[in-house]
Amino acid sequence: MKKVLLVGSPNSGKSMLYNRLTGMNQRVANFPGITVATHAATCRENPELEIIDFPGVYSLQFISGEEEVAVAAFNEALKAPVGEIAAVICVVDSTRLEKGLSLALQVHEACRATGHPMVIAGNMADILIRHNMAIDASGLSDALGVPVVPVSARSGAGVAALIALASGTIEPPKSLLASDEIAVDQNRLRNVAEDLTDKFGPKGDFLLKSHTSADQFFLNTFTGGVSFLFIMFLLFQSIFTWAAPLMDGVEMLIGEAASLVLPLFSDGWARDFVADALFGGLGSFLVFVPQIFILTMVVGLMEDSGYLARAAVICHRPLRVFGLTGKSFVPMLSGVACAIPGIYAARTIESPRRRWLTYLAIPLMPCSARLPVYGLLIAVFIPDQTVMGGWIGLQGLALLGIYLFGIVAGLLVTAVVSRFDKEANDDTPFVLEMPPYRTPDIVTLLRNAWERSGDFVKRAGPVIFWVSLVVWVLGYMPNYGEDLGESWLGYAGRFIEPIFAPLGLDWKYGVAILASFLAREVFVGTLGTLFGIEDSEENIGSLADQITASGLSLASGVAVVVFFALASQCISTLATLRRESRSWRLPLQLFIGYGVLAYVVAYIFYLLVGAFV
Amino acid sequence: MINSVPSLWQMSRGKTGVVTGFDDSIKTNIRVRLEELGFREGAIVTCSMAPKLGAPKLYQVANSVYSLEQPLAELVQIQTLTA
Repeated sequence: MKKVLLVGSPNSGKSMLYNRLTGMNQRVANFPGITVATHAATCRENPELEIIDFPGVYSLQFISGEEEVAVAAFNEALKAPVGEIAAVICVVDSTRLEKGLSLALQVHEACRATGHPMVIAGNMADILIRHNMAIDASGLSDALGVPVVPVSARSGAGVAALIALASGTIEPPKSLLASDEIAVDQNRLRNVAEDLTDKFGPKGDFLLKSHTSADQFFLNTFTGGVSFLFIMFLLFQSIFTWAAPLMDGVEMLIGEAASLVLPLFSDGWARDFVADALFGGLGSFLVFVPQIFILTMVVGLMEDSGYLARAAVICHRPLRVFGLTGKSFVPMLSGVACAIPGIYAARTIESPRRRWLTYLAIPLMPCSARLPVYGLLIAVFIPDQTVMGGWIGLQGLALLGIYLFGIVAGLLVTAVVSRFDKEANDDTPFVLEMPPYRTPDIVTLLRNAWERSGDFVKRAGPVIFWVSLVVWVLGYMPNYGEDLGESWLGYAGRFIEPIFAPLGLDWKYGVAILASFLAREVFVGTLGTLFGIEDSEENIGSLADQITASGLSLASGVAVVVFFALASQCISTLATLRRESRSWRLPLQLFIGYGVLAYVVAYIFYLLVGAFV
Repeated sequence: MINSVPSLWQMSRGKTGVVTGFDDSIKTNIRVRLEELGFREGAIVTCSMAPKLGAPKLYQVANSVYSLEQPLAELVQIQTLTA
């Protein structure tokens, strides 16, 4: 199988082209630095080709960690024997040809030096066509001595021609400039890119005019700030209001499934297991998946529209106060969906110091694994009512408040640490490309949200199943579910009860919190199993109703929320931090530090709420 | 620190200038990156957005728009073309 290497600058549409070539669903977004690792898959149209997608780089002379990874991987791939690489496809944004050609000329030289064939894919040709423009592909091809193919990764136009080229035989590029000239004088190379763009590229700044008028609104000191807050407000309202019918649907499906399945079992341990552990434990978790779907959808909308880069600019100045940068905004927002992609996205921050501070903030971002916990406790304590003529839901408002608490906590931690951190000299300045505004593709958004929700279930589902199984067995034995308090779990729970008693929590919540150190969302499943065993006749009813009936106080509920907002329980996040920081020191510090912080702050909130309510 | 030559940061919204050089204190890798993005001597740059409160300004160069914060924009020297 021959390899096809896909390289290009950030926002050139390279990953979308990769998805088009392979049929994969690699994450794409209208923001630089979304691809942070190489990906490989077989070409859909020609199974003899393996397509390898590299992270976007502005230049083969890297200045950030993210670019270092990409350039090193690309250089390593070029060491393959001549003949193994069918083509190096350099993807350039045809609407901004000069920037793409600056990189393409470096790739051209790298391919010439190693003897590998090269093709230039002039992406976003459809946008040029809409403006009655085009690049002079044949002229550019003649000038560079490599094939140039106009393509549209979005519509698929030109992709077949690209594959046909890569499937055939392409001559490696010949030298354009003396290699020492390129090495010594990068300006010479950039002048060539400028000349080529003038000769063969589209004319005028046709795209920028509409963008500028949109930026006047979204980046204005007043309207930009207000619109940013409004968009964030909509994000959190949508999680409850839009997801509610879907959640009701999932709950109804689980109820229907239980009513169909349970009669197949006669009374006994097998029926109790299916009812308590499967429908009680796993089912309680599945109800919250629609919220994760909606969250992913709305964040994807912001990514694809190009708004995310504007939000980073708006946030830059305020974030500087906390020792961060505007580029920290995107990893932190990604952390709202899941901390792991957020940590990877932090590679785009050139400054090691600010990247490290961003690592500290990300685990405190209210990730989707916390959402089931928050959703459950909000359903217990906050009535499902609206105010201001039905425009604002109280539950959505409560969720916004909880999310803001986590975000503020993350900012305060970085502010304090940055004050005490003495290594302040290493600081790379903020420069961010503003991608063009684009209309998001609704099908892609839906597909991404579906797949990410599915990934979430696949990742958390098995853990929740096994924890539910273990919790169920421990709670069921040795008296076959007759008395949960006298079960093995009851004994173990009472052993750890003194730890959580100061927060007003009984042993059942203690067991659920301990289980959540495997994965936060296990908390809901574990409580579902525990309440299922305790109240086997109603174990598939609403878990929130059961918790309300159990008499959990508001002060304890707030303490649980605060604990989950601050504690760093996610093993996957800690492992990712170890990989990125290349040491166990940071993840261990965060695990212990945030654990202690979570317990102490939860206790303070328990006392405060208890005193006033 | 910064010399008396006008810098990108001093441009207000709608103003256009030509890049004349860089402050001596700029790091080589940062200078190279800026040049790769289009901010090189002779390039025409327009300040397309200048939010208040010290937020990064937006600069249009070579059919692209970049956001540069104050410490960086102060290192790029320009000659203003429009009043």
